[in-house]
Amino acid sequence: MDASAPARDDLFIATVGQHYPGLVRRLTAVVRDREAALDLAQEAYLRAYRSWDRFDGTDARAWLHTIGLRLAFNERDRRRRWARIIEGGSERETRMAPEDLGLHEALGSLRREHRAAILLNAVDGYTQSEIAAILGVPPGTVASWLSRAKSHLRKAMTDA
Amino acid sequence: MHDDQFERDLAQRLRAYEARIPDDEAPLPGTRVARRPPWAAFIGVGALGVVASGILALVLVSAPRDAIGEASPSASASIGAPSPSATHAPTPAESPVPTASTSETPTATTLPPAPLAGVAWGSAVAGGHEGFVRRITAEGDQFYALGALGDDAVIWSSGDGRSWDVATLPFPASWEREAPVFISASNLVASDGRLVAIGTVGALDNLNVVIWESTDGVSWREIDTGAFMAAAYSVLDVTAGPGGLVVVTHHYAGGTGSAWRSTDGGHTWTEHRPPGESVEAAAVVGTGAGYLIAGSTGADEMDTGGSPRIWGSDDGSAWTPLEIEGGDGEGRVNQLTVDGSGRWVAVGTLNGRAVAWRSEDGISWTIAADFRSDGPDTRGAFRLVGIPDGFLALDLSDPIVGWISGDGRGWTSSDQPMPTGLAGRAGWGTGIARISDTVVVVGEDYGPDGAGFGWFTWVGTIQR
Repeated sequence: MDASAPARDDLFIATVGQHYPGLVRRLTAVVRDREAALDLAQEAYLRAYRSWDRFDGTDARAWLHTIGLRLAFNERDRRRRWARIIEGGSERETRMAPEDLGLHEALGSLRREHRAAILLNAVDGYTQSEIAAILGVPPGTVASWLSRAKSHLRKAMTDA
Repeated sequence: MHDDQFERDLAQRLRAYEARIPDDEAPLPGTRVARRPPWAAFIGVGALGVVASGILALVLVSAPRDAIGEASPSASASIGAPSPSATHAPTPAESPVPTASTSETPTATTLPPAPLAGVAWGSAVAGGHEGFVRRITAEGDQFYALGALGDDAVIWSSGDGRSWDVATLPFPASWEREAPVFISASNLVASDGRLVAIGTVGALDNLNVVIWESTDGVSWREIDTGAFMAAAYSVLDVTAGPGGLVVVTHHYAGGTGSAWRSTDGGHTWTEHRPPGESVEAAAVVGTGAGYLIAGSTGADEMDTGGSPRIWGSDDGSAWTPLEIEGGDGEGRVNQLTVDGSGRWVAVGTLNGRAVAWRSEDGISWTIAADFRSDGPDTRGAFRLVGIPDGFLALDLSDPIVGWISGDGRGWTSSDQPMPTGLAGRAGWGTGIARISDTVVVVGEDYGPDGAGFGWFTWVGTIQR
């Protein structure tokens, strides 16, 4: 992509801006912390902007989710450190609609990686191989994550 | 509830759940961005960063490339050297984090001594933030780490695990570089005075096997393997034995595992599938007397529910399931190896636990040890290596835990997680290999700043 700076920015915003709300929601669902999700989304967009000249132009949404979700996984250590500093160390809960509380709780008992995998699969329809590419793990790992997530959610939905 | 109905309900509920997540600070879906969104405030800073990192990258690329730890005797590039590719187009599979300007300077990080009895571990050595290592193996007097760097499959080689040289493998002739293509070297074996490396190239589900050969480990050329290239799909392990080269393979999309043999050094291959329903083959080991395959049968398409299996063959063409304790349970044999005394050990999972099997003859296998149970997180992602007096095993999950055994029955683990990574934080391992009394582990973590990906090597000396 060869563009002058203003045109480059316009092109960037036009291409990826529309995906920002969806990325925030996805990151909120994965990290279960509204503020952290907003921070991660902004960091993801900053990194996307820096890498914009290398974007292949095919799937901006998948590209952003790749960056954002990988940042979310990396966020774990940083959050652990902060959690020790902030009293109690518990995550700040996201405000949820009452009808979603059961599912929210069930999702909360999954590992972050499992939540990301099940959302990418069940909501977005990505295949195991595609999820593996997005999250940067082997397809067999994704298969294991999906299996555990579905088994857990199935039990939770049945018991509810 | 039937599976299909459950999956539809789950998808519907998850979509509704995610859609109702408060969205007060983000533009509504489907609306055009009319103002600068929160992240746009960073653009000015980002632009400056791009310029600054570009200048620094130019400086680094122009600088001499030194080997990590010690000066390399070779003129070729070493671990940690910036990628030669400056026009790499990222794919969704690529880490978006690394930049050559900040992450490729080789550094040695001093870590506290590891408490694993029997091995004295040295300092972690940073490999870099670009690329990744999928496996490490040893042939002759050289360690070989296999992976990718930029748009190329590469093989790092080292005699001591501390100073590494890197060789770039030719890009497969049947693929276009312009497309976002995943490529990596993943396996290596010595055969008839040559090195044979096997890797993967492709995108999403369209993956092919690539095989290269070399007589010196420096210059490599691709072998045209004909139908094997597409049919084998993904090679998980390779070995050499009395019947030639044998690989175990896996199809991602609803497929199963299989085994292939080459009697001409990797040029032509024939399939010899082990018997069983839904075979999954995880590893293969060849000796002077034959071959063993570790894996499972009966797993569903989600790779769950299978039972552990080990198959044996004299020549790699006909496979026989061997007697294994717990063969009716749920699990998989992931790795197997033989020590200097000819005793066999395998590791894997059985009914949700990580276990070791032991065999005196390689034919009859009994459960020898129960490593631990971590509940739903038990993945049995072990790597195993035989040592002259026993076995070493690494639980590759985060954090890495090391185990050592003299006989395969009694295993001693570190009381605390083994120190790993570039900044002393937890990481995860990708492989272990041994030459004589030197053991090398490769692993990955989030890098020195905790915000990216990095990989490291870790050298240990077996203590007697």
